[in-house]
Parts: sequence; structure tokens; C-alpha cells
Amino acid sequence: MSDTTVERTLENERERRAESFARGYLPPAELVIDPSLKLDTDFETDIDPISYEVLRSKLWNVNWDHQETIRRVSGSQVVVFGYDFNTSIQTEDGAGVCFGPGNLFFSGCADLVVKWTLEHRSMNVGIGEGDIFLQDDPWIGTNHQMDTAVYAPVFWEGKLFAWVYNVIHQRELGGVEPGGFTQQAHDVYSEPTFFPPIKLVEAGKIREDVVDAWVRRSRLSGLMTLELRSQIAGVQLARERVLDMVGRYGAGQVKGVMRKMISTTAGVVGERLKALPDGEWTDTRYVAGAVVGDLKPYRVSLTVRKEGDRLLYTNSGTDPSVGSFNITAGVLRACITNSLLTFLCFDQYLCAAGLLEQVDFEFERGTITAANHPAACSTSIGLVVALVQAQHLNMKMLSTNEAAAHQTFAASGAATLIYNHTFGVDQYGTPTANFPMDGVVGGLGAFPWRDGLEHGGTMSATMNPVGSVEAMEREIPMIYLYRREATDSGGHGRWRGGACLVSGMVGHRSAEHYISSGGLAQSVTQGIGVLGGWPATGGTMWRAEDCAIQDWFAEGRLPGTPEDLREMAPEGTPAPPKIFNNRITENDVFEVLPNPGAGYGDPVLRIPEMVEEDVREGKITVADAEAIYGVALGQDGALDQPATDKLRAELLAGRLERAKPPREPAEGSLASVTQYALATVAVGPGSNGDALGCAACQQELAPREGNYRLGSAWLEIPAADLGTHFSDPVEQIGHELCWRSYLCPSCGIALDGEFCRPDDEPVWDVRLAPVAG
Amino acid sequence: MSNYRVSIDIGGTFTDCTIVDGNGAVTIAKSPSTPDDFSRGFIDSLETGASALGVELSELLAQTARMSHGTTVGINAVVSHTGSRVGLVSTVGHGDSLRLLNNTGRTNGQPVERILNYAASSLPERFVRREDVREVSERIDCFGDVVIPLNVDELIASVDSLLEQGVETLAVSYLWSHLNNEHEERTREVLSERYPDLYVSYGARLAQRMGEYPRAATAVLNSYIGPLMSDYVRSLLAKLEQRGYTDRLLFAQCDGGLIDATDVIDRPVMTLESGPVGGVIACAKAGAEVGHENIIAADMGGTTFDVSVIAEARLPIRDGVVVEQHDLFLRMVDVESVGAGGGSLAWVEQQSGALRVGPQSAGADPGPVCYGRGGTQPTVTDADLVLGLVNGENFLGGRMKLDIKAAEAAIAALGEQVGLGVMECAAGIQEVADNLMEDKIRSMTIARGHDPRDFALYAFGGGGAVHAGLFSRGLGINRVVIPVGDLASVWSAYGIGLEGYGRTYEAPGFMKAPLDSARVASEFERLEAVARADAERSNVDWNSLSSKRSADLKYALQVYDVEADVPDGDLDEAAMEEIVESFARTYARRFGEGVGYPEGGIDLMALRLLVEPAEPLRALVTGYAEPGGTTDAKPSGERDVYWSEHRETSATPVFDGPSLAAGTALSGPALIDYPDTTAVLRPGLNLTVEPGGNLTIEPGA
Repeated sequence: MSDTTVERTLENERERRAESFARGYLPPAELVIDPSLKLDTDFETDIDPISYEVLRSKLWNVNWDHQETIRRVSGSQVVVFGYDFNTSIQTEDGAGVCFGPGNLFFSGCADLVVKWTLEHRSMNVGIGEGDIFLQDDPWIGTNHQMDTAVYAPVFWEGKLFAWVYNVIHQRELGGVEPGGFTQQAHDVYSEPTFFPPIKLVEAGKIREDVVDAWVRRSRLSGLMTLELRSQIAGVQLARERVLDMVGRYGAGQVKGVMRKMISTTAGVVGERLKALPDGEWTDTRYVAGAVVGDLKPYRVSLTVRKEGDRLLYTNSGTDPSVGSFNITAGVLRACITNSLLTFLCFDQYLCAAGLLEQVDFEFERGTITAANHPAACSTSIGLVVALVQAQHLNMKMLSTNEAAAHQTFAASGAATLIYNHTFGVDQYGTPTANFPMDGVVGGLGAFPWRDGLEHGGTMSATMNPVGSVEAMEREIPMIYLYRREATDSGGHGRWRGGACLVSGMVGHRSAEHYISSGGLAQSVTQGIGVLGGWPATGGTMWRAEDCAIQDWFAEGRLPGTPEDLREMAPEGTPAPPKIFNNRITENDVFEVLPNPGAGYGDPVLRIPEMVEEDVREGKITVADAEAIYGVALGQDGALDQPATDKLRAELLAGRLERAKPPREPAEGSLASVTQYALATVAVGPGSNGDALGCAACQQELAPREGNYRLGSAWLEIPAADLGTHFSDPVEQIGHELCWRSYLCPSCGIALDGEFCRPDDEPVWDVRLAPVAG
Repeated sequence: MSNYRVSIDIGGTFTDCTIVDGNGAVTIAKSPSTPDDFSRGFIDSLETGASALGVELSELLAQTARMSHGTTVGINAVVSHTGSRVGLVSTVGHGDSLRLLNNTGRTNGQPVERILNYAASSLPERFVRREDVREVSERIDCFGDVVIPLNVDELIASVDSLLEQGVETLAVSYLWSHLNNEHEERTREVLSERYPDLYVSYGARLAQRMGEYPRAATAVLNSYIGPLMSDYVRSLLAKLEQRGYTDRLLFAQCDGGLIDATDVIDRPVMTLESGPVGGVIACAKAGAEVGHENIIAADMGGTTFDVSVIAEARLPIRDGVVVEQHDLFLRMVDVESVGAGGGSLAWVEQQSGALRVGPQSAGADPGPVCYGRGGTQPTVTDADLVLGLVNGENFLGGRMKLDIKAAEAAIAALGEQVGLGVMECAAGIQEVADNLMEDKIRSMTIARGHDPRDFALYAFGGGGAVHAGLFSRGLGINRVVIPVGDLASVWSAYGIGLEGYGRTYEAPGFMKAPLDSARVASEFERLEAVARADAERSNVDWNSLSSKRSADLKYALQVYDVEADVPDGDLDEAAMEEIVESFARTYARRFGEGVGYPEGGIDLMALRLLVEPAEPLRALVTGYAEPGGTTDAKPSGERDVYWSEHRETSATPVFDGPSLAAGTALSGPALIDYPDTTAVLRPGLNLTVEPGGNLTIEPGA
């Protein structure tokens, strides 16, 4: 699976290293390690069920305590409350045996870092007992420069037995924008300076020169020293504990358990994959907000080919890297790993190595999602895009098997990234810079069997807290006029996406204070609905300056809802994307509505009683209940079933009338259903051999290996008509994009959809492999 | 007069009662808990205790000087969602705080398995319906200054409409009310005049900490259980009065102090999570008698293994707790649990063939297989029985017979799945469970900077004495204490009886160092005035109490608050400097030398006044372990026990615990049977019976 272009020998280490620096490192199947480094590769295969459980649980606990040590010693908000870190235990050759539940995408980077270190530091600088390494090079294996890895080899009787590893988001490592998310960067040189693996501790002795080099670039060098120290304390504790285990149970037993964890997970993943049909699934989407001054939509694509018990991911079709929203190949691999861990390994204690045994990657370099040096990559935007794309793509693939689909859920919080940095002078008269979390929390997307969870969080950060309003107001010179559940916010569908919050603020006791409307262009949502489900809004930001808020206060009134806010400031407008200095002082207000979850399945299929309840709970409007769900409610809000039946029939017929007819219409219907290409697209004997057909009514759509979308009707819905909180991309970014729903031409049920330009060819989103023989 | 001190602790399965007479002699009684009306089990356990003493209940009650009680009535109502319909009155714009739950509802307090498994996790059922929330115009800012005055007309209209739609109790919690309670107090005046009988809780009266959601949640839960706790308390008092007891009944709180029955009606939320605290208090006090300042308190009950770490004789305290995925501001003794109790189920993970234990539990119903109540999946208790560690013929002093055949069959079936014989499998269940306990202790000691070798491990609860020899083994702990023999099995009830009147008062005092001494002094004066008034209301003599001042500080750019001592005497500039120095020392001790960041500034977060008895009760009992022990005590019999250390079953001497004298020294393997538990002395360990009744287990030479 190596995708390096040069031959892999010990002698050409320098050449291979240069290549990894330029294109980004992906590990080969066989590592090239200097023979002077002795690896302890022995392990026992005869592990009894009790020892297995005891040692596996101990490895998990060592890793947990490693994590808690970092939380305790660092005292960093990002670590303690934001969970933006992770820890792991890896085998001698860098296979990640267990991770913590912090930020899961780190699990796809940790093995890269250790493997690279084995391949490129074993000969020069050397890897020895008592050493600890440090690195934050995006082309080796980190999302952005702030994500700092500290990791140590564990030696037993002179041989390299294992690695212990941690990574935390260090808060300030220099660069032109404080905090390091460099929105204006066009290349990596204006971002925080980064370091490939260097030795931080040598044979037990901390290298003060390296510490100085690390922290001198920071605006908060003392604090970064402490954060480094917490990381060192963490790996030291984990290393000692692994050695205790080896001393107590024997090296062969401990390694045997590690290897068994990997093989068990690989087996579980393999079995789950075997239950799916072989084929290829693709997601192609637009992303806007590359860099300050460039809001053009760019194309990002991801394909997975599933064959037997293996997966292969490619990103061809993705536009060349641009602006500041790129990621490296290793990070794309990490995003895919994150999504698969959640969907396929939810019961395997985060044993990433076992999962990765079943997955291959072949990335086209120089693209937004596999950028070459020196593309800018500090903003994390590419990461959230790649992650939500992998989530969406994998959910569609797994929808072909009911048991596998059960674990999946649609796009969630932080899909269409929003940043609201604040800065200025605080209410105590001192300079301040802060990051209210309201923009990055959200709802969980819909599952194929239940609604998404309101305020349920995201996929990457398993814990996704927003600080309390009082905590925010104490730190930031603002009053939260409201923070409430946004009405009508979850993506529509048979199963609705989880709602998100909406927060409105006014500046307070500061004459000079600003808030950014950063991130992606929200009108180009990444919260794509699944298999007939509607998209979630990419969020909204809204502002008004010099408004009447103080007059309201003087009258004892406070605009406590979004409607009140707009009544108070009718002159308010959407905040333009990627503006860092929206003023927010005592006469200015700002509102952010982040990302709710996307919907699953055609809304027309939602149980009418649930729609009745939704309206009563303020989750959807009466108008949407009729227009989108086809549910009629009486004056008292009670369900009118006969009227609903009629309305739904009309709605489906009306859709087909308005839709473009199929390009390549198919005749007939499936005689039976033998498998699924998607949960909405069935396979079975058709009029002319095996065919794809509508899972709801069996209408034939295309030959088995064809594109069902060509046999579907197309209904295009303007973006602004998708719900209360959607905005028009033409107004925001100057390009037309719409929601295109592919309908069964017979029954009118939505099969799937995409957010595209009106003149785009349909993406061929699923192609089943021919049946062997 | 015998001057009895009676203490009753209601647990999930049993209601435990301890009666200590004026000479320190203890009587133990247990009765089944009665969830349909817990007060019945309360009286039953008193009856059982009286008959054990050989007196009538009326006589026992007539001679009772003090009665204290730990109850699960509140937490039961919360967990089963059977409390009152609560209406929430909140600040305009912020009525959704209990819907949003700070975006942590899915994961808060959940085991990591569920956090990682999104499909298996869900949001908590809320304690307030959406339509039962009202927002009122009022706003205070982070300085405590009024931005918008309280609109009383809106308030009245809101509450009227809530009551009209069927709300039974009310919680009022406004933003920043902990800094300035003017609007909540004005609301209180208005509501108590207009609806004098309505049960209302106020956020700032219950919690003086920053965080509108946990403060509101605390008020809501208080009103959720308020009426049923009032009913319970009144019914108990009436039942006791009928039987001749008219003195005060004290209730255990989760912070380790007792409050009067009338106070508990106002603040029932403080009884939530009070369950595991009694045992920790008993450990601290028993440890003080024998010079143990560092104690690991390990309570092995039916469903969980609860651990608390007492370092330098200080009770570990934390300021928040998660109940039903909601954050509450309750100051409580810090106890952590792992799902490894006697009832934890053993099972085989199909994918890997691993033998696993918990976190699912057989609970009280059906309970372990050997209870014969329909359980079919083996538990840790079944394994203990099959291994011969527990005497199935004399369980609970013979009040319950255990079905060893059924337990054996269930374990044999499980063993077959993984290729293990019945004894190997039972030993495996024990090893896996003990490993979970060992690692929980390791996480709470080593990972927090404590060296377990500096600690004595106190093992109690029904299974503590059975398992301590194994779960302490890998930790390097040199001394395991089974406190006071059989008393270990009712240790929590005993601990509740040792607690005294205790209240904690907090003032949010946000300020940046250097601290303003005048402000700090006036805040403490205010707190003391409130504390005096409360003591007077509870008929507690202020002079019998001592008060201790402390302050929470943090490094401004780091997140952890640390409680620092505030010196006695005048609060002048020097005292302020001492507070900051004490903070820095405590921070270094807890988190490591040099890991604080003073360059970023130091913030004072809160001031606190702790009121407790000046002369607290001591853990002294008589009647245990009379002098005259020897090294050649005679066993009362023997039992076949499978020792995993030897991988074989051997006839093992059994000693009658209550008859062992102080100074008795035994070498493992041996079993010491008590009516309510068994102390298991594993091979290679030595046991000494201490004066006072503690059993000390140490590694052999």
C-alpha cells in the first residue's frame, strides 16, 4: 500500500525523507528501520480469556491515566474542557493499539508520526532508552501546527517494545494571527513555524535547547512550556506503567494481547465489511471559503471501493490546493479513520491499528485534501470538510446493510465550520482574545432509525461542550441576550437532524471589542442530507451596529429571541464570511446559529404523529409540516390523517410534475430484492437482467452496474428554500448552487440528493462491482 | 439511660441499622428495604435492632439520644422519574438552559463505552417539560449590576399560567443570581405572599457558583423531589412519635454533614448521592484513632465498587456531581465508582472470546444466581460462593440460604464457552473483577500523584473483606484494614452515625490578586451571620460549633480551582498574601511542582465557611476483640476453597470472627466468618486482630 515514488532502501533515507516532506507521509507496509535499533517483536499467541481481558483492560486504563495526567498537569481549557487532545499506546512498529475518547481523528495521525520516526530517525539522531520526541509537522502527521505530539519509545531489556504517545492542541505557537488559525495565509510560511520529529528528552535528560526553540516563537511561551511539561509527564507515567505490566505479566503476554486486540478488531471490521456488497461509492461536493478574499466554490471528492473485507479510499476529482483550507494526505487518512472507528469499531475500544489493517489509501497529491508543501494548512477547515465527507460517504456505503447502518448518523455539529474569535479590551480594561464555543457546537445528524440528537455534538470530538453563558460573560465583554434552542433548525427527513442552539450577544462595558465571522461560507452547507433526507443549514451569522439595544434596555426590555432581535434592529444583515472584525460594543449585536444535524430519508415518510409532535415542540413550522412533510394539522394542532394522506399523494405527484424527467428512463420493476446499492436503491431481477430499482416501489432505474441517477427524476430546490436558516449562495458567494433531489420517477420518493451547480452532471455515487463468475 | 446513638442507612437491597450505646457497644441490624414505602423498612430495621438488644422498640427509642439517617428516597424518585411536575422560571433569553445542557447531555457522566457508541447513547429525559418553562424580563451582569429590573407583572402572569396548566412545584433560577440575589429574593417575596403553600426552590439559595445551567438544574431537582421528601420526613417523624421518639432526626447530606429534618425539607437535593459518603467518613474517623492519615476507602457493594482517597486526613471534596446526565452544583465527598460489585454479571465477548465482568449488574432483582430469585447469568457473588470463600449456609447470619448448585451450573456453562473448568472460570471472574477494582484505585492514586504504598486500604461493604486481598495485591499496598470485623458490612450506616451538624456556606467572590482584604473580610462576616442564623433555627448552640474559612483560587489561564486555607484572625493584607501562598502550595501538591502559571494572574473564585462540631464524635466502639489473643487460635471448622494462587482446592481453616481476641495472629490461607461477611486471608498474607476490632492484613515475611 506504499504510495512513495522512490525505491525503499536504507541507503536512500534522505531521498525518501525529502519526498515525505514534500508530499506528505503515508506509511508503507514494510518500514525501513536502521538495523542498529533492536525491535522486540516476539509475542505469545496462546492468550487465555482471563489474561486477555485483564491485560486489555490494563492497557486501556494506562492510556486513560495518561490522558488524565495531561488534563491534570496542563490545566489548559483546550484540553480539559475542549478535549482537543488524545493519547495512545502503540506497538514497537507504531501500530496504534488503544486511544482515548478525546479528539478521534488524532488516532489516524499517531501511527504516522511513530512510523516516520522509526524510518527516519533510527539511523540519525537515533532512538534510545529514555528518549522522548516532539513534532508538529503537518506533512508527517498532524492536522495543523498547534497539534503537538510528544511520544516516547518504551524499551524492555534493551529492545524497543512499544511506544506511548500524546498530542494536544497547544494554544499559541506564533505566526501572524494569534492562536495560529491563519485565515489569511496563502502558504505555510505565514503560519506558525513547525518542526518535524526532534528529540525533546535524550536518555532521560530534557533538552533545554529544544524547549527554548519550541516556546520562543509563542506569544505565551511560559504557558507553552507548561503544556509541554504536561505532555512529558503523561508519556513518562504511561511508559512506567507499561513497563510495570511487562514486569508483572511478561513481555510476550503483553505484546500478545496487543497483537490479539489488533487482529480481533481487524477480524470484526472484516466481517462487517463482508456483509456489504462489493462496489464503489463516491461523494463530490462544493466548499467555499478558501481564504480571505476568495469565496469561490471548490470541488472536493472522495471515493471508497469496497472489495471483500477491504476498503480503498481515493480523493481524485478534488481541486488543487488553494488558500488556507488545505490538509495533508495523512490528515485525510485520519479523517477517514475517525469516521470508520465510529461506525465500524464502536465496540473495539478504539483499536485503530486493527481497523487500518483493512483499509488502503491512494491519494492524489497537490489537492485540497492531500496538499503538498508549502500549501497553507493551519485553519482546520479542510479537516472538518474531509471528516464530514468521509462520514457521509461511509454512511451511504453502510446503508446497504441494516445492522451496519444502525451505527451511522448524518452530518453533525461543526460540519460547515464557523469561528467566532473575539478580541479587544475586556470589561476589566485589559487586552483580551477569546473563543466562545457557540459556533462549533451543534446537533447530531439523523440515524437511519431515529432522529439525530439535539445538541448532541460532533463525530470527531466525542465530547463537545459549550461553556456556560455566565463563564463566557465573565471572560468576554458581552451580554448574551439569549442562548436557546434554534427553532426549525435540524435537517428535515424521515428522521430529523438534531437541533442546535442560537446565541445573540451585545457588547458590554467595552469601547473596543470585535468578533469574527470566520470559517467557511455558510450558504454552501456541508451538512448534506442522506438518502432523501434534507440538508442541515451551514449555520448563520448576523449582525447590527449602532442599533437601538440601549433604548430597549432603558425601557426594561430585552430582545430574548431571534425575532425580537430583528424587531429591535431591522437594519441588521448577515455577517459576511471571513471577516475578523465585526464590532461588538454596547450598541452592536451579533448572532450565531451553528450547525444542526442533517436529515435522513424522505420527509414524506416521517410518521405523521411525529410531525404533529414536532410542531407542538416548535421543532418545525406549520408551513413546513405541510409543504415538506405533507402533514395536515387541524386548528388545534391535531393531526388530520385523511387530509394528510391526500396531501402526501399530491405532494409526491407535484414533485414529479415539477421535476426534470429521467435522462435514461428504465422500464419495468424488480421482481424481488436481493441486495441494496443504497438503502433507497435496491438490486434485483429486472426486465433485462439484474437491475437497480427504487427500494420503496421497485420501479427499475438502471442496470445493476449503472447509475440510478440517470433513471431518476431530478427536482432542483433553490438553496434558500431548504428551511428557515438557509441563505442564498448567489448573495453570499456570487455562485448559484441548489439542492438536487433524485426522485423515483414512479412513486416520487427521494432516493438521494446533492448540493451542486444547476448545470453539473450527476455524480455517479454508487457503482456496484459486477458479480464474480 | 443507655444514651443510644442510632443510625439507619437505606440501601438498594437492605436497610442497615447500627446502635451504639453509651459505652460504645455496637448492635447491628439489617432488614430488607421497602421501596414502596421506605419508612416501613426504616422502622423494621429499628425493630430488628431492638430485638437484637433484647428490648422493646419503645424502650430503645426512649433511650435514644440521637438518630441519624441516610436515605435514598430522593435519588430513587430521580432515577425512576416519579417526582413532581416542576415549572421553571428563568431569565429572558435563557429558559432553554436545561434543554441545551451546555451541549454535554449525550455524554455527561456516561461510561466511555456508551460515549464511543453513538447509537447506544441518548439524551437524558428532562425534569422540566418544555411547556413548563417561563422567561421573565430581568437581567444582571457579571459584576452583579442590574441591567434590566425584574418585571413583577410578568413574573406573576408567568407563574399563574404555569399553575393553571398543572405545574406542582416551582424552581426559580436567574442568571448571575449567585452574585446578586436581589431579583430572586424579590421573586421570593412576591411568590410567598401570593402562593404561600407552593413549594419553590431558588438557584442562589442552593448553589453559590457560576454556571446558570447547573444552578438551575439543582433548583429543579430540589423541587422535583421536594414534596415527596417532605411527605417522607413527616411520615417518618410521625411514625417515630407514635413509638415515643420526639427528639430530632438528622439527615445525611452528600457533603458529609448532617442537617435537621426541617432543613432537609427545604434542601432535599443535598441528600442525593449521600449514600456512599458515610463509609468514607467512618474510615477517616476510624483512621484518626489509629494514626492512619492516608486512607483508600474501598466499598464493595452489590452493584458498584466505590473508592475515595483520604490524603493527609482531609476528606476529598468536589463541587459538582452528575445525576441522570445533568450537572448539579452539590458539594460532596469525592467518591468514584466502577461497575464491579457482587451483582456484576460475568459474560463472554463473542468477538474475542474474552471473559468479562460488568458493568451490567443483576441488581437486587433477580440478583445473583445463588439467591434463587430467577437469576441465570453468573455474578461475582456466585463465583465467591463456588470458590468456597463465602459460607452459603450462613449468609446474613443464616437468614438466607444460597443455592451453590445453581451457581456452579451457571458458571460451568459460562466456562464451557471459553474452555475453562468451573473453578478456573469462577477464579477468572474474580480475577477480572478484582482487576477492575485495582485499576480504579490506581487511577485515583498513582494517576493523581499519590503513592499507594503510603496508604492503608480500608475494605468494607458486603464484599470488601472477601476481595481486598486480591484487589490490593498489584498496588504495592502494605496494609489492608477490615474495619471492626462485622461492622465493615454496615460501615456506611455506622459512618452516618458519626457525622455531626455540618453546613457549608459559599460566596462567589470573583476578584483578581492582589486580593481586596476589606471585601474578603466583609464577605466572611456576611457568611458567618447566615451560618449563625441557620444554627439558631436548627436549635444548635453556636458555641458548640467551630468554623473554618477557605477560598477557591485558580491561575487565570488554567482551569482548576484549588481550595486554599484562609488564616484565622484578622483578614489584613498579610492574610491576603498568605491565602495566595497557600493556594500556590496546594496547587503544587495536587498537580505537581512548577505546573502553575502565575504569570497569567491569579483569580479568586469563591469564599467558603465550613461549620462543624467543635468536638466531633470519635469512632470508638467496645465489645470487639477482647484482649488475650494468641498465635495459635483454634479454627471453628474448615471449608474447601479453590485458591487461584495454587490452582487447586484445599481444606481451609475457618475461624469464628466475633470470638477472636485482640492480638490473634493468623497466616493465610484462612477464612474468618462473621454473620454478615467473611474476611478472606489469602495464601501468603498475615492477619492480626487489633485492639478495637480492626483486622489488619499484611504481606507475609
